[in-house]
Amino acid sequence: MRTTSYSRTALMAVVLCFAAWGVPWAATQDLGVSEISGADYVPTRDANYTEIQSSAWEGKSLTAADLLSALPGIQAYKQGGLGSFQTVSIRGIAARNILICIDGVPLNDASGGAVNLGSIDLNQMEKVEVYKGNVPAKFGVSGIGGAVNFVTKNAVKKGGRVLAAYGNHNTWEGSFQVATPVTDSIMFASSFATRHSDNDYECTNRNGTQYNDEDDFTATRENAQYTDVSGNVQFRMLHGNGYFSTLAVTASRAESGNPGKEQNQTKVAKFVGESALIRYGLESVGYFDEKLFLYGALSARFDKNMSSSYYPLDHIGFGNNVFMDYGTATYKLVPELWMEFTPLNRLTGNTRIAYEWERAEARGNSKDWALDRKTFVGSGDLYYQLFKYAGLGGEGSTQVLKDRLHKGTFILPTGNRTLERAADRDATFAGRLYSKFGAATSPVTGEVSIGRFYQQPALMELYGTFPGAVSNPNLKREKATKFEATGMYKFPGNHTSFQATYFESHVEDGIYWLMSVELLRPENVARSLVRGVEMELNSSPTKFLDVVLRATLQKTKDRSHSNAYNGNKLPGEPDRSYYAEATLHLPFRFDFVWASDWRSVMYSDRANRTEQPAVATHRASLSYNPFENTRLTFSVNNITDEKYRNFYTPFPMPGREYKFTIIQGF
Amino acid sequence: MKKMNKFIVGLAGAGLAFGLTACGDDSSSSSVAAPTVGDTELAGVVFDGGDYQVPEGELRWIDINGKISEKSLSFYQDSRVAINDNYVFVMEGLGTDNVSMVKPELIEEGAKTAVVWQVKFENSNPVDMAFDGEEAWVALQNADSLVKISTKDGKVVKSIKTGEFATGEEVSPYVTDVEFDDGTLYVLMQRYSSDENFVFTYPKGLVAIYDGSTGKLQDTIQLVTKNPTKLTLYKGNLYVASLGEYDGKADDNRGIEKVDLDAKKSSLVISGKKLGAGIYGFTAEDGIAFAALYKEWGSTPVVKIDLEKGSFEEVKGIADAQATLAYKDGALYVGDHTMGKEKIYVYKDGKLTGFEQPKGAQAPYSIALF
Repeated sequence: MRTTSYSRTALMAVVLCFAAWGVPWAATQDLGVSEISGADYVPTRDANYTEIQSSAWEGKSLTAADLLSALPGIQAYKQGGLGSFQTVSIRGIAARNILICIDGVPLNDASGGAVNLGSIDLNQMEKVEVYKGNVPAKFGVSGIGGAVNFVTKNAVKKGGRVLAAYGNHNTWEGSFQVATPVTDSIMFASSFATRHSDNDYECTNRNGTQYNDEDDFTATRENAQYTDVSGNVQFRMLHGNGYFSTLAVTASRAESGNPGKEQNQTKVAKFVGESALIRYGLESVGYFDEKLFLYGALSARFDKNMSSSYYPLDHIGFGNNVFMDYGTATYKLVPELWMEFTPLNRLTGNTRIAYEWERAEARGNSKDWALDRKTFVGSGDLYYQLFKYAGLGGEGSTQVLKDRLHKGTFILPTGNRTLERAADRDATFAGRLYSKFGAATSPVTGEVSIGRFYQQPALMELYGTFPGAVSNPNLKREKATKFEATGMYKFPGNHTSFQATYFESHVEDGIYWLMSVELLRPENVARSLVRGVEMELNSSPTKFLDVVLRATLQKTKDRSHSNAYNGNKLPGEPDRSYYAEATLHLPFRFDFVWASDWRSVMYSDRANRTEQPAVATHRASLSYNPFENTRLTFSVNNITDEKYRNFYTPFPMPGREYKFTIIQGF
Repeated sequence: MKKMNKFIVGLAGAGLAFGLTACGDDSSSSSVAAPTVGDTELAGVVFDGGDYQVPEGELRWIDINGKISEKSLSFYQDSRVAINDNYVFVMEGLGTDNVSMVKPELIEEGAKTAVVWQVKFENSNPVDMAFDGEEAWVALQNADSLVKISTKDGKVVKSIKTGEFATGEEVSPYVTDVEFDDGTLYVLMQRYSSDENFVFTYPKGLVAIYDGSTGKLQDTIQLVTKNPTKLTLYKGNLYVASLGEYDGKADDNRGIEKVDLDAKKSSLVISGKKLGAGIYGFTAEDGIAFAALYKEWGSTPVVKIDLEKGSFEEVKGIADAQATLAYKDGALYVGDHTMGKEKIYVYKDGKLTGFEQPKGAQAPYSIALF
């Protein structure tokens, strides 16, 4: 039944896309454009890819989650103010299944949890690449929920800038970037950025008693302060043979309180995260008449995340008088080779071979343990432009991995089981077929794709030693079959474009943490179906006005076998969400931006009990450019001071936020 | 960057009760007729929940025909229920730490009407209640005391310091069960401790005996097993069920022991070695007990035990009862927590009958009978 329905929908979407493509193609024929030259064989852009430039966030007081969730098909989850835990889901697939990278190096670690976007400082970024439909070949095609790659400011263009910002709750930001040639062949770039907020906003404390209003009171958020510092140094060198090499070193440190829930504000509990990345990359010249480019890189990444708490003051964790300080350190080493080729005039492709070594180790009070994972990934993408208005492509990957229990035997407190060695895991093959319609200059273009994707369980899910939890060495891979069909139309005059995408995802063997006898264990119990349409209209009808309208209409369905969840909506996924943004380019070098979004009712839990009502939020910013390289911006976020939190999600939100930003370029 | 830390804290929070037990059998005997909703008499209540990723659990009521209510009242997940004098008491734990009294006749009208009072006991994790007329002793598992409250308004009328029985660096001796009988309060303490490496130590359990009126300590009796979970009184003796360590082993550090109150001595009557595991959930009446054995994660089958004879037999058909057990008047109400097979059953005269689970109902977590 499911297959029939799915196939029917897929077939209809393909037919619709062909129909949409057929109209302009026929029109073009009528106009007599029948000559096909090689230069016209330019494929359309990837319909599931979006690139966000830094101008979209600078001065606007947006977090990475805010920025991403303004796109259609993406929903955000935030647990507080600046630096708080924040994630996004893409087209109904949860945050833990989305690959988050900085400069192509994954942040997802051995725990298998979602990456905290709140700790990513956008002031360090040049652009954000969003792949909604798939993890592209250059990131390994591994993972089921798409990918987001944050690209740091690089040493390509000479110049620099200074940014300073201040807002309410003693929120401040500062950043400095410079890029300058050292010699004729060496470019140097460096950046430094820091952010802080006291996050001491007012909130209602319902005291955890929903049926007793008499003990409610207004409180100030405590122990929610956040500070991060990050820096980057980069050298880009032109070698005598025409090769470019880039050496980049990035380091960051974030420290924040762990404020707890509204009814249980903590005193000293905190998080500390530290990371460092060293990356060397070498880009070749074009070989065979610019038909082959090679790229090699070696990346080494270190992450350490620590939590601490003291029960007598914080009342979280275990009920003793011991100061608890625990966490993990992870090391990653990734050598990779990347090849881009155009062997024939209409054929383009790329191939990546990478080896990833990852080690996770205990830090702090945790009992000593260490886990290793070695992964070999081969991936590639091949696209052939069949004729001027259509092309066919495919990408695929193979992944072979080997885990190792580095420090001896693991005794699982679930019974009498003792693990001497990690289980062997099957090789994974993932693939996607896609077809593009229309030429790059066509008013109507489209793309259809279907893919089967996998995600291996994380090391800590398989063999971890979390307090109060047991791991599960028998976990299977998570699986997803995804289908997308996109149509794009550029209105005459090229001032307006419209894009609509139908998406459908079938997820099986998704991992959830279940509880039995007070102990948590990850299990492959999640099954879901997501169907939806996202639409986007971009228009610049005059040089004074830019308009963006976005909408997401989706139906998400839990298809797990549990009576409690089957048929429910997926957590954090509304049926409808809309976004509208208008930018006015005013006289006297003023710019005014207004953005509003609305989403329908959603539930934050699988049982669909914890309802989050429909909500609209608005933000505005006014920028003034007194000089060519100077920009002053005043922004207000959450203008209507929306603070509602369901009783069962008691993490207070900051409400209305103001920020003043000055950016000076040079 | 903090994802791991958040995750660990979440797990640690969920694991607050690591080494502890849930509830199950705290329906005290009542001479009055059971309450009715509409025209139908109620048999008991069940609290559905226990999913780490679902913060909200649900209180449902079971009528004498075995129908579980479509409607429910909302409380935090992992709440435990008890019944006294036809009132339902809900104990919310894990950082919520409330005790609420619910009038069952009003539950169709919603929680705002049905909840008579709701009182917070800061950082306490209430897990059990023992009733003494219009007052009740409340076991506060994570606190260094236990309290006696008035069931009229939930206000504390007396408290007993128990912190002196804590071991290691613990704040609390981890009281897991309280029983009140003939003016005497019996308090069951687990007394485990964890060190800075999250390594748990389980010493032998302890029963403390207090004067139920004054709260004065009368005696303590060292148990012979570790990590006790429930106790029951039968023919002047205490019977204590224990889980032992969370390793699923079958040995003499767990099982059922009989505490001779006159001799102030405890001895193992059914060992974990014989049972094949330790006991997580336990309920008893008139010398017949039912125990959920902790075999391994996700496997807690049920056995019927004759306390006097020391014999037992398996109740077939229940895979993961955990602590959802309540036994009264020859009928065992038992829940199965197994994912995809969540259900409540009644076991009577050797026959297991399943009740239809309402659409969307979560897994049964705690149960109490009128």
